[in-house]
Amino acid sequence: MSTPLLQARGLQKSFATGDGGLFGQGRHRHMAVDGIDLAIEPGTTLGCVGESGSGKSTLGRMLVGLIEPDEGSVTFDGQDVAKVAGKERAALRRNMQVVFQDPLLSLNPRRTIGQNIQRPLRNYGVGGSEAEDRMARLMKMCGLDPAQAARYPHEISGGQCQRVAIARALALEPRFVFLDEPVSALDVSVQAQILNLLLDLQAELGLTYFFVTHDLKLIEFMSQQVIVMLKGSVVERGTSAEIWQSPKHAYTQNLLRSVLRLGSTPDWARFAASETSSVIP
Amino acid sequence: MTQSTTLTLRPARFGMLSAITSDKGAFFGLIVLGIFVFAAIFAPLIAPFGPNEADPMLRLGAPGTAGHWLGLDHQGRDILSRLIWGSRLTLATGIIPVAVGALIALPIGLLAAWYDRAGGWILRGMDVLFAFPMALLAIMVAAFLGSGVGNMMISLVIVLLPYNVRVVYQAAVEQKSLPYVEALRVVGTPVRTILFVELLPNVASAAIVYATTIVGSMVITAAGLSFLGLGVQPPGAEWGIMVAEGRSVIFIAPHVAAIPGLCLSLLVIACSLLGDGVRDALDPRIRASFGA
Ligand SMILES: Nc1ncnc2c1ncn2[C@@H]1O[C@H](COP(=O)(O)OP(=O)(O)OP(=O)(O)O)[C@@H](O)[C@H]1O
Ligand SMILES: [Mg+2]
Repeated sequence: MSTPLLQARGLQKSFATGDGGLFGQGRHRHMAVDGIDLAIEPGTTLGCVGESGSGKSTLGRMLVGLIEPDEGSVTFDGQDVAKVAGKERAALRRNMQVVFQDPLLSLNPRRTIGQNIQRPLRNYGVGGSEAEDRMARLMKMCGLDPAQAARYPHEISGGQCQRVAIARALALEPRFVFLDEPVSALDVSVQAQILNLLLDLQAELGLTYFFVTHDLKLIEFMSQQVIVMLKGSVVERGTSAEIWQSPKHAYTQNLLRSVLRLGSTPDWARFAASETSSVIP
Repeated sequence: MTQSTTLTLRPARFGMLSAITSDKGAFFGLIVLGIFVFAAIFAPLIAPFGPNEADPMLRLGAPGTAGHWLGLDHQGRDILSRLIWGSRLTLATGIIPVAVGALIALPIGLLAAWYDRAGGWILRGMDVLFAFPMALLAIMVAAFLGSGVGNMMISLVIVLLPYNVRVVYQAAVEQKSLPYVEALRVVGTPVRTILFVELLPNVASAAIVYATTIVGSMVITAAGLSFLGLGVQPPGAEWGIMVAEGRSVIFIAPHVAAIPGLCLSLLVIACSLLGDGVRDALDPRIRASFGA
């Protein structure tokens, strides 16, 4: 067992709810994430499943530093993220990227998809023809035609938007990517294409994923390890086979039953084969 | 790809122009405004007389007087010529304060939206200005600064500021909550780039639309200030002044006040029609319905 790439200890985050009244008397704090530990091995995927509002996105946001935890720490590659500052912090941060749920809304609507992909490069001082070249390479890698770079996000399909978002996330050559329900806004037929693209990229680039979903079906397909979240806490964890075959917690059993009730037993081999990987549709 | 064919693939600019020209009201507004702007630019070439050139013999001549289509005022000045010359100051007092106000409001509104705490104080400060009726505040500021066209424009900018900042602030807050802003942060975009490069164009459209809708009321307010002696000073040609001067002869020669008054109304209507059209044209959902 290698050392984890990303480790979190005792992560906690609460949000103020209610308007608080004139003297703050009505203010409550709502625990979105309540003391979570986790570790992700390099090159693997930690799946995270739970119902809406269980704190999955909040947890992921803390992992990549989009929000600060109230308590607890995040360690990336042996370094406590909160303890580095300035340039080193920026260097750490570029290793952690995010692919968001809504592909269209996660791109700037007034910028071409090429400009959207080049933004991270320009942030780090890469411009001109070098940025163009790298953009073209990223687009090809993500199954996009570089000739489409001049289009606007609303002119391409949702699946293509998500490919653009993935290309942008990979522009800084990160080692860790937080995938926040990357396919839940997409048509079922497109979902498999995007998931396969993500798996291919992981194999090719040795990426480490934190994959969030509220869809238990996708977990086994994508991840080695799984955590099941309920109201800000982890109620069950294990390998995805363990969770799928012998769920211990009543909540997981319920989740699993609802999946089985909705559809037939998942046949991931067929699901995976039904799509020819990341080839341009 | 099915989705891409249903939407226009043409650049947004063409879509916008065709959206405006296919909207009858906006098209009318554009034409009227175009005529006024043309008159303002080419005044020396097209005005039959100078703005203060008088023929006392023909004082208060009615429209149709030989050589003076629109008649003459109480000093015997050609009304058409004064309208043409006056369009310069009228448009300037209507458009410049609105444009300057929007430019100043953009950074203020963006910063207020980004930094919650500072934003709260900025908006609180704007609320103080909101407490005064717009015209009253304009009169107070203009009176404080002293009369003159420049001071009048400054007072209009100040009066407009809280409105402009609100508009930008609201648009920026809306944009800020969209996932793409979070995505920009994740890829290490500095705050100044997020605000002034990425968000600015998305927020500016709201400011532009608002500006086009208030040009009309600014012209009216400016005319009001001139009327009160706080703006353009007689014998300067400006439509508001012309209405004011015509007031004294309203019963014997109503055309002296009515004609510039009509032009003012036309300008206000044209601006608000065009503003509505621009608003619709900037909304991609509405624009799509115009077809490509
Ligand atoms: N910025 C915020 N301000 C206030 N409350 C928040 C904020 N972000 C999240 N919350 C609250 O924290 C809780 C967890 O939210 P979170 O988005 O992490 O859930 P989730 O598991 O990702 O849900 P979903 O599946 O709907 O995306 C929710 O109750 C939510 O309302
Ligand atoms: Mg979420």
